[in-house]
Amino acid sequence: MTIDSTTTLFFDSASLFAASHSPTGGSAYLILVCQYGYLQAMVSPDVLQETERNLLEKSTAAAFLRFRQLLADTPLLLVSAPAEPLVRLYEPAFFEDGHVIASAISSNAQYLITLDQPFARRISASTLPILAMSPGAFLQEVLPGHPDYERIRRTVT
Amino acid sequence: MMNTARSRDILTPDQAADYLQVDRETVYRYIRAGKLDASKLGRSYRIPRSSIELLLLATRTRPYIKLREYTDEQIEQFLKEDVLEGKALEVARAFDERAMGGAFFKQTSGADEADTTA
Repeated sequence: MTIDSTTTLFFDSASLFAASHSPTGGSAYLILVCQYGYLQAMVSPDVLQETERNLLEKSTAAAFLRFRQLLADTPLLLVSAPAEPLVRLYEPAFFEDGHVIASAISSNAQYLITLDQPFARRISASTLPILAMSPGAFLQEVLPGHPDYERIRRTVT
Repeated sequence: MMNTARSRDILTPDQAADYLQVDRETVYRYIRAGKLDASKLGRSYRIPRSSIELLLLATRTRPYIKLREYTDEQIEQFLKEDVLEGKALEVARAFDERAMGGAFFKQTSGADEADTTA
């Protein structure tokens, strides 16, 4: 699959939590790539709420402030909250993550960025038209296909 | 006390706690976390009622949406998985240097790997 600046990445709350908690990690890096306009970040209101709650309960004030800053700095595509029937449709396979997959699929996101390996495995095992990846896997396997990365490589070599 | 708290536009932390029916410490925690806007007048806080209404709006739930509460073990796993290493790090460095002017690695060179209180 080729990617460019219109390629859509739906971030789940695990990746947004990590991006806020750990500014040196892969999630924070991918968010920065989106801030520069090389990729398009997507989120849903419920994912933002889930992230915020977990940061408040399990992280630091500094991480919470970084989350607020991330929201201010990133041109996010905020997708509509999914309707109840759609969430119910995905719940049997994805449990509490039903709302995440419902939002990602209904918004036609191409990639779902998550650090939750069991969740990613469930998506990969399904026939859903979305690829679930960790930020590290995305950097390793997908970003090198970005035209700007190719241009950079040609400039360097 | 509750009727008084409801009728005022500016509340003390105690009145806010009473209004929200939560512990006073919870109100202070929300203030410290920046979730509840408050002004510090001398040694005490004053909270606009609009800030409390905004907090209630932001944390409202729809019954069919179940939001996850991560365990410490899950968070540890996420942060471990998030560490940049190997080929991912190599790609990240190259893209950062050439496409983002080194913004990421310059910005994070002095930063801690992660906050330590998860």
